[in-house]
Amino acid sequence: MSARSDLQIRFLRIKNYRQYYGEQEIDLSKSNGNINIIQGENGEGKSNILNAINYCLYLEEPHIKKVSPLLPIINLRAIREAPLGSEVDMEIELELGNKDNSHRIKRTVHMKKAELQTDGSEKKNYEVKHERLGTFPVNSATRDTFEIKSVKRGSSGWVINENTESFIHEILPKRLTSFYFLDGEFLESLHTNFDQIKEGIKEISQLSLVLSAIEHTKSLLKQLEIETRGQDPDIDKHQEEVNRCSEWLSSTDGQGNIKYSNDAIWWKKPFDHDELEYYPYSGKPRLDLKKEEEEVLKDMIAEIDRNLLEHNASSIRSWASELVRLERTIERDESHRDKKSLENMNHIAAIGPEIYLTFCIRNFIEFVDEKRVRGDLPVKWTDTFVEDILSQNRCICGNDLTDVTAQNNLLKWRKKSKESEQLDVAVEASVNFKNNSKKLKNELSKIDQFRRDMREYNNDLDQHYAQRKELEQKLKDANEDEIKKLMNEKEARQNQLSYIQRDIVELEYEIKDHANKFNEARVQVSTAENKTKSLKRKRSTVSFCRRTLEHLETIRDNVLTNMRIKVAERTRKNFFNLIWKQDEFSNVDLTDDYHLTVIKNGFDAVHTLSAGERLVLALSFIVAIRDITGFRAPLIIDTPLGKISGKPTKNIADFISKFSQDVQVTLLVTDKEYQFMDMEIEQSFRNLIKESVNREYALNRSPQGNTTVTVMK
Amino acid sequence: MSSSSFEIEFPKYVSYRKPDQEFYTKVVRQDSNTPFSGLRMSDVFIYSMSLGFIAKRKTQFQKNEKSNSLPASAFDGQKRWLMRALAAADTGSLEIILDNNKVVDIAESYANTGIDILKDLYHTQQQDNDDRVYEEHLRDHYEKLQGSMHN
Repeated sequence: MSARSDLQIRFLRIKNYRQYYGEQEIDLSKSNGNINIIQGENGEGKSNILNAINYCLYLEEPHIKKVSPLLPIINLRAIREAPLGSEVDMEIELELGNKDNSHRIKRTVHMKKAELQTDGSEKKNYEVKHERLGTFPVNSATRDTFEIKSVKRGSSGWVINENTESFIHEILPKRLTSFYFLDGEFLESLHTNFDQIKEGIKEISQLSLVLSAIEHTKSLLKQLEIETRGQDPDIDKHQEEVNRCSEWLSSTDGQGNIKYSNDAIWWKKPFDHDELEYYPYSGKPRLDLKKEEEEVLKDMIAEIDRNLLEHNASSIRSWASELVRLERTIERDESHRDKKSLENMNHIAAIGPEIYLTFCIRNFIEFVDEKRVRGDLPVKWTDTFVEDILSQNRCICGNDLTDVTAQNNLLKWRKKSKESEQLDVAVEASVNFKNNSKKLKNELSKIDQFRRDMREYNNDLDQHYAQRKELEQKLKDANEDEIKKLMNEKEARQNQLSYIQRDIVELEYEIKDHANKFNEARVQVSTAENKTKSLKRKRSTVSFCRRTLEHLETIRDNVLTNMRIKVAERTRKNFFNLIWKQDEFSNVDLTDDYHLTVIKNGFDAVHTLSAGERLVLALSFIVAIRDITGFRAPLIIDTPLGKISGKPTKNIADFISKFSQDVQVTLLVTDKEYQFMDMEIEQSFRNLIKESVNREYALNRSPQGNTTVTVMK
Repeated sequence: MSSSSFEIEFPKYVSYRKPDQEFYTKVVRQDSNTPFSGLRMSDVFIYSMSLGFIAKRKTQFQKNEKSNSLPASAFDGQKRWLMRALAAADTGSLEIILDNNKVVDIAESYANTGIDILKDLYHTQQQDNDDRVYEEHLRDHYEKLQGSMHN
């Protein structure tokens, strides 16, 4: 805080700023008291003293009069007197310091005076408007150079300050300027300016870290809320599919109904239409039941065959034996034929794409070959090639490579090539494609071989079918009821078996299909769940952010409330110290919504206060703020008394004198305000504060409108 | 196909149109008596893609038509290289193979066309009870190819 404590403006030097022509210096360094007076009539430049200080420090003129922005910031006379082509500078310099430090801050604006432009017939002045510098009545090329320099006095003299702006912010924060560079108007209306009051309290609460944390949390929260909006609508759908497939897979009726039931199921015994056999439910998928049925049927057929083979008649036995052998042969040949057929089909699936895509493959091979011929592929060869020629310092074309530029070019080319190194795998793929292409004709002719094999099997099978039919017929024609019955039963069982086997194939496929669907749906659920997990994580972060925000806002509110209460207490104390009609007022407070209230006869009388009372209230508040912050910045008040006269003048004089013991005060006053002999108190304000006054200056305006500063006599 | 030390990245899924799912499922059945009996749906996809290419027509997905059903693992080296060769021919540039998302996009759009041709072949097979339709189609194309090479 040493840089801030008891800070004073030691001097203010103004050169060609607005109505201040030439260089004007105001020495404000302390010699006697701590109050400096700058007296001037309205329009003589009091407010521009305040503006000059603000402009020097913050590049702003908050107290500018309405017409001033239209005028150039650089003194008109200085512009007029400057020769064409020469530069006119505006400078404001001030020295700030306390017992430990001294800082000089200088702001400069340069302007080059240029030729006047003509519109063809007569010379005419064109206006040059500049956002920050006002409007120039001559066509002057204003260089937009806002220079700010600061120096600091150290043990070895003045040294340049590296970062002037942040240094200014540290010693005199811009947001607090309204509480140390004041004008009467601001003081007059402070009690109704709640934003200003709130800002002041916020600023002194040192909440910047908390406030930026609140802002950051809010923006994070907003982003997260956008991201977490809406759930995955598919999750239920996928889960439903998982459940459905899972139930189907474990059910015995294909509908998921008899799952985990203790109820027995009735199974219709093959061929015996009226008889139902009772099977306890085992919980196995119905495929097992089908397979059990298949086995039963096979056993039944085997039993029939045994009966036939063990028949008394040798002819029956022989035919039956032949039939069994033939059936086995048929079964084997059918299986071989089907296998060949499948191989053939799958072979078509395997070679089809390469045949259909012959054009693409040839194209691909050509692309790769072209690149290989050009030496672009394989890319890894480039490396070896570059290494070789770099080691020889000579290119294959004979160029010398000792030159650094040539070497760099070569390395750049290698780097670029390396980016497409993945293309090297295309070389290998191209070789494989070439090899496969050569085999395509053979692969296609394999289909013919498959067809030939299948034809042979079919021919054999046709013979076997005929033989089987013949044998079956012989057995049926045996004219024995028992054989007839066995053969009919065998035929029926075989039909049943083929149905059951078809069912099994169907069911196996369905199971495989459901298992695939189940797995697929489970993957989808898992993906959706992961999404949900991430959603949950995000929601938890959102919730955390909300809690954090709540805490931060509570901290902010608590700090602000505490600060408000502190400021209110100090303001109350200052007010009752300062006010001359203490009995009339019962309380001064700062409400939750930052309203300054003054209680008179049980009511808030803030809007009925006189000008003097309002000034006392504002000063009480400002001093309270300054006391709490510890910012002992110099106080500059423009037209502090305004409409005040009589006893209040004395009270204010007392207050300011007392206040100036710790703080440098500069008052910009009118002649009337400062020197008027008040009949009521029989003294002037000047007389009331004379013990505390350090220096007095008068602003003098020339007939041309330029102001100079002189020491007051 | 490629035994290179590194493989080009491949997207997680390859998609077909949702309405085609039934057909994809049907033709890979063991007893479907199609070239894809007992094979994987990725085989159907590659075949369709090839048929789509010879038809010289791409069909883009309509809104909400895409189903991410074929995992990358179902596409071995050969299938991937066929997709890349197709993409290279489609774009006229070998460099496209480095952009697998584009490669798959192109392959999908040809497969969307080709699946309809495959459906026609399947229906002809069912109608005529002739399992030779696929090989005849293939032979026809091969002969045309030979003819164009001689010309």
